[in-house]
Amino acid sequence: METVADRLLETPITPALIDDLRSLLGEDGVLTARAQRFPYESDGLAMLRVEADLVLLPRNTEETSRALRLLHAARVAVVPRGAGTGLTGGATPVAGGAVVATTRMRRVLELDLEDGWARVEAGVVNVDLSAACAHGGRIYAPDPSSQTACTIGGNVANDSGGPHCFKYGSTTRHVLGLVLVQHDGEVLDLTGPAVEPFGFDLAGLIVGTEGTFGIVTEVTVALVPAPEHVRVLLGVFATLDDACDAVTDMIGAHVPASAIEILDRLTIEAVEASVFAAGYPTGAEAVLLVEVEGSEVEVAEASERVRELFRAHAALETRVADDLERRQRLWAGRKGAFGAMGRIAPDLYVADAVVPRTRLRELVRRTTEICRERGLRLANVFHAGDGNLHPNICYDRRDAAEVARVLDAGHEILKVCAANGGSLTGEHGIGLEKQAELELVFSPEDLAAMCAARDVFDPDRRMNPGKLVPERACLETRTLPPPQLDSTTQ
Amino acid sequence: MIQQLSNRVLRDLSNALPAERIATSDDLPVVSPIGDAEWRAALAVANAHGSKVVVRGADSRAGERPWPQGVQLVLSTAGDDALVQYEPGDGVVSARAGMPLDTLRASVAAGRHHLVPLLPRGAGTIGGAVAAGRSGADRLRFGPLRHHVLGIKLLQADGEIVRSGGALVKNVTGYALHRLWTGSHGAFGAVLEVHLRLFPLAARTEIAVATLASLQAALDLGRKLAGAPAAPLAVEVRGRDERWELSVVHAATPRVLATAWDEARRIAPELSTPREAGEWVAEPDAPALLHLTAMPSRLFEHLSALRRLAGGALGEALVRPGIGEALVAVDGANGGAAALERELASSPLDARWRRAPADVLTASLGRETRAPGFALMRRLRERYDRPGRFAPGRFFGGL
Repeated sequence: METVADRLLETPITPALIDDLRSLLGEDGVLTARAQRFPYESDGLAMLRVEADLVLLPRNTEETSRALRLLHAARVAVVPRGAGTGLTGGATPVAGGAVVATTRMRRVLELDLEDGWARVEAGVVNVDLSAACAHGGRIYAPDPSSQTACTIGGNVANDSGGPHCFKYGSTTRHVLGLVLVQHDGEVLDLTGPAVEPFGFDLAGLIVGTEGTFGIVTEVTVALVPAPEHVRVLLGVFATLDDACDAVTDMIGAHVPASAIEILDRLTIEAVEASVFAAGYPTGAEAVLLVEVEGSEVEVAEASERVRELFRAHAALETRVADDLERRQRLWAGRKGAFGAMGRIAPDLYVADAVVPRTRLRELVRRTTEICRERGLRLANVFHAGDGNLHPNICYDRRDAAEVARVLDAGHEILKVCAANGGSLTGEHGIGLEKQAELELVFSPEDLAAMCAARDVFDPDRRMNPGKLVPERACLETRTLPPPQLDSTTQ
Repeated sequence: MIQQLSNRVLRDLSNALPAERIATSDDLPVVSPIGDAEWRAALAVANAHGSKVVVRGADSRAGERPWPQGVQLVLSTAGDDALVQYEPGDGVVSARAGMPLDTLRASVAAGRHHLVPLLPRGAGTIGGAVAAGRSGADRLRFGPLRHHVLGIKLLQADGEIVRSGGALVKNVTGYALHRLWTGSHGAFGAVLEVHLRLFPLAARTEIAVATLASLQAALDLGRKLAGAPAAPLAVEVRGRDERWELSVVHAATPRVLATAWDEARRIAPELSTPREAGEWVAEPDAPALLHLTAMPSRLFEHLSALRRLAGGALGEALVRPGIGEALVAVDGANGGAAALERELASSPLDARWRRAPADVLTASLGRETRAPGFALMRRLRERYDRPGRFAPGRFFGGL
């Protein structure tokens, strides 16, 4: 078995450094064997895989800080990682170095249900936080589809969203403070919670930086009151166009929903054939899931408006779920959709783009055409209320030609969205995947301004190198090898 | 010397910009560029002369930060007040920084949208509100302004115009520099254009009030009302000494309003009969005004501590119990603000001046340098404005 020792001549990682790290983190906190490092070669974007030289699993801020001091002294590149559920290669190493995962930091440190906030370690799983505060009538609102696995720290790194961000906003709106361990191990403690930032909004800036400013080890988050009444309405449509138009009109009519999601025919079929089966009608071209919440009267009024819009757009049927069990079943289909697509093809490329909500139908159509032109199967399941498209391209990564077509389609989709007033990502981030496309929406001067911020936090650019902002935009003198495309037989 | 320098600056400005854009005020050239090209040209003149500049909108927040050191040119957003884009179907508006908040509010109201922040009439420009990170009376319902600034176009000290974010309600493309710029008072450049998320405008807004003799009782009641399932638009407590007026504002459809008021009266039977709210937003008018924040459950304790520190110098207060903030008038004329600032220097209270005499503002800078992350803030400021072109000394901690 190849170990990191085999590569020591090529990396700044020495046996002495590994010994020091083991003294600090324990034997099980330093992974060097190839088999141990293998799961850390990629995140949810499995087509990009690069081996890390070692993997570190600190247990708290102090250990993270001391580990980063050692890595800084040795000039080792650091790749922060949560649960590895990201979809853009943000947690995939670019050129070896050390992956530092927060998965052993899983404590809820403080819970204040009266004022509605919690201080948690970065490795706390998203859904566990809501479970921890449910008894006090509070919820943690951001709810990515991966919420049963993804961590709060990972959510902060990507400014993650989810269906209910239509009402509550993405992660950044819920971060009241954080602790950032910087490249040299220095700890920036902004845990608060503060009603207003004291000075410049550093925490607001750090959210969404994908680990390029440091490793977030603790987060103080807002907990919102659980709604008094909740209802889910499922509209069944004969065409995807009708469902998209219903959403556009819903936004224009200011319907106070908390989530607005669309699933297309291929997604419905995959879900209904899977363990996530939600009872969606398999003959439909699209279903529209709309959740409304509030007081009894608010729910009644909003539901009536949703029904009217469903009718106006020729909905074939409207189903209503009030009780928790039926609502959960409807949501299980939506949240499990990505997993269910394993039934269609071995691999799934989850694109993520944003478009103006007035242009949903036209741009969803265009993404469909782009995939059809390349002979690719496309399943749409997306946060329609936010204009956040997720064209999911089904493929087999063993087929190199198909992989190339997938990447080309992904690029074309982003190009079309950017050219029509949209943007490159609503919640998945840039990572490795979309750096080239950043220039579709930002000028060199815009990117230089971003690099300037990065330089202040990490002047050596050793924190998650090669991610988010293109290296050339930062006038990087050090050349990093491109990520390897994995087309090996599985 | 300054006059001679100003004359040279004026000459070059006259060559670079239409004459009607240039004026003088307090012996300083005041330039009001319109459009990106004119902003670039005006700053190029300042850069060529090494002049320090200060950016201002409607001048409504002039007393909030100290006057900067050695300023030789004022750049005003006042003339650059266009509505860039408003798409009612998408719930996003883009406006140039000089657009008055009142005008922008009226523009989007035509499309049945509500603009955050809800500030008193005449509260200046949208650019000024964003630069100051100023949230309003509607924060209880919608959250702080910084959550709804979707993007900003900024003129940097090096003359480059850069963008962060965009006119989309959901977007995580690139670093959120607009979060850094919002509330920085222009430390990183001149805010030229902003993109904002809009909210549905309620069919009707109503207010009900109650008078209480104790601040603690008013705050306790206010927090209960703020946390009611039918969320109010605002809950405020206003007054001083032993007379406190609690006001609750609901904004919704008539049916929802009816049930919301039923619920509010169950919590606070002493509330008056609701009436159309009209122009209900107002803040204390005082030469020295302090903004105190604390987690809602600890707000009374912090206000009490402030009262002890201030001796008898506190005047009218506007308290938002559901948010955890208070605007407190301080007797500045009799030295009360200066004395209070001395006390605050060694206090853990989170209290910042919204308006104060110049010496008090200057004294408060020392407190700010002790903020967590101040060294990073300094490095950020220096990275973006190496020559200290924009209003040196005016920003957080005297940066």
